[in-house]
Amino acid sequence: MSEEENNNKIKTQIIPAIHNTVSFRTFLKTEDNKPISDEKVKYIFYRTNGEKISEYDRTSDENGMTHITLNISSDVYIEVIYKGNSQYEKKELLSYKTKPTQEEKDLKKGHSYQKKIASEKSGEKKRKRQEKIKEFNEHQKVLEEAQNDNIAIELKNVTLSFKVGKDKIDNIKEYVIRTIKRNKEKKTIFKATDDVSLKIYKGEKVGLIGFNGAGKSTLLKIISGVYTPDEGEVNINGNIAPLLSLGAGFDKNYSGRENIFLNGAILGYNEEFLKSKYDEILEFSELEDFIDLPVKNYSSGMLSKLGFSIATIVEPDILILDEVLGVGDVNFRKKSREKLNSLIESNITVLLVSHSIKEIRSICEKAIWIDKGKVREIGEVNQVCDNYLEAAKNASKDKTKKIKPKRF
Amino acid sequence: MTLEILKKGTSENFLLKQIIRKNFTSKYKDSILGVLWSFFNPLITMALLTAIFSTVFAKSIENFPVYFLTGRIVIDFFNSGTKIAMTSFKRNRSILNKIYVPRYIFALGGICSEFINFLMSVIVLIAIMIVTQAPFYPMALLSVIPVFTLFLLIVGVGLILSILCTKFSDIEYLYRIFTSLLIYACAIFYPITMVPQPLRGYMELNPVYGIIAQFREFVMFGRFPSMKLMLTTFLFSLALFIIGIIVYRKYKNRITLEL
Repeated sequence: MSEEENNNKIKTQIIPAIHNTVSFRTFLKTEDNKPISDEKVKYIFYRTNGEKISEYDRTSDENGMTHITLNISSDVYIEVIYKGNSQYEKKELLSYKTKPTQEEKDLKKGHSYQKKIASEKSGEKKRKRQEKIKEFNEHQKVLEEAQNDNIAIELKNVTLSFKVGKDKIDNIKEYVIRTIKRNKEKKTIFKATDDVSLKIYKGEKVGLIGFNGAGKSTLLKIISGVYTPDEGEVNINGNIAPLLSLGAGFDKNYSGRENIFLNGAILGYNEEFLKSKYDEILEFSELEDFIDLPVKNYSSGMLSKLGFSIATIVEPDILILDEVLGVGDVNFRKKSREKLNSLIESNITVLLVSHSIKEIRSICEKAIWIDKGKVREIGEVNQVCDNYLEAAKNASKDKTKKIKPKRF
Repeated sequence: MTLEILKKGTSENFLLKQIIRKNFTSKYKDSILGVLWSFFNPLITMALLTAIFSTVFAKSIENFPVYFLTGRIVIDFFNSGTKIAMTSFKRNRSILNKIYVPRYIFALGGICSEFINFLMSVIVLIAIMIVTQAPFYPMALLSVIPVFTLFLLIVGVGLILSILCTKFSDIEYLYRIFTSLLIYACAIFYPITMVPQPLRGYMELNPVYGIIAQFREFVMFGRFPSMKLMLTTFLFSLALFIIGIIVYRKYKNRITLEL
């Protein structure tokens, strides 16, 4: 094949198709095991049927090694040629290794050593978490033992029930007929909030979690004064800004300007305050060009921008949030979230309802888990969230078991 | 206590003002004549009824347009005031269900905006009195007494109805029938002397009629109405006012649950 007679050829290796990157190494050594550097080596690749694919030239380094890396997608023969003389050792000249396949990678991940590291890490996390919980509990104790004026929201045995039923009497005709027939409605009493007692201290960020229909919103409404409980006591220190409904009571025939005053009045601001903050509201809402148009011509995004700007102009003592909301277009969304975050990070009390546990974990330090109108757990946020997620997992497992389709 | 703290540092007067404004502007929002309807409405019905009845009752009623208008503006205020108060919680349920606002303000705001309407129709009354060359008596200024009584009555009835309306949805339709009956029962466009005696005694118990009668005595004839009429009307209205407040207080916490 080669011009020179004394060339050494190795054509022994068949490389199976592995669909992956393969590295070849050739070590040139003297018979007494000394590396030969600066020696030219030629790699030639053939298909199994003998057809030549390509050839590469390499020069050995100071360890006598030459190296080539390439992708192989079918079986190949490999021929390695070097200028031979008597000083070369002829055995085991070639070695090859492949990059690990996905399976191998997965195998490696499960390796005991790595597992050990992982478990050490989680152990550390656990320890940290427990420290946090301990710290939290101690802090709560301190707060509890302190004088009572550090309480922002206190509920004592609050119960609120709704009358529900299919045949709820809502007109006089039926009321009269039923009274005569003595067939009064079957009242089903649904306790939306059942004997809830909780304390939220000033400056605490509290997350309210629970499944749909657990009574979170009802509780928020009780705290913000929309609902009055049947039994129990609600004590609130400080003014509340409920960010539950943006633009409540907007009159569509009013201009933006008039609606700022109307909505502001509904939110409980007084006239002087609104007048002094008017420019600020307008600037934040970015609606300068439209402020004198009736809001029925506004888009829904513009409406929520206006509503948001009015609602967040106060610096409340207690902020009630149903999901941290960003409204409007991309820019305004960012701006509104920043505004909310700055509100949250200031020294006010925050009560947040969210289904995003991630958000609750990042914002709050305390969490309250409401389940079927009752407080299931109050405590350090990660602890409560973990338990909640665990319960959610179990619940969904049960449900999926039930809805598993039957095979016919 | 709690609710007072909630609203600390806020002005309920400001809210009341805003609600009055809103009610007032929304009433005429899509009409070309706008607020002018407050003038035209009583004028047109007055012209119509004058054309029909002025000859029929020529003997017993001296100045039919003024006689009719005095009754009409009072009953209009009563009907529209109680109606707007009745539906006030329902109409504003989207606000009441989300934010704590003292609820009575919506009822009161509605009544106040109707009161402004009433004052505007008083202008119409004065204009008609000038046109028909009716005499003006200084005693007419005392008509603030029946107007005040009327206000108490409307607030009382309005509050009771507003609470009932959250519970029973068909109150609205029943009350509409009641108000149209009330127009006939209050001697708006016929002389009270037409009514035979035993029935007339009962009619005078009706506080709305009592107020109209007082109003006419002061404005049209410049004389003091009978003490008995004034007292019964006032006490009746006061009683309804107090009952209204008691009912409202008792049920105000259930309003948002029923909406």
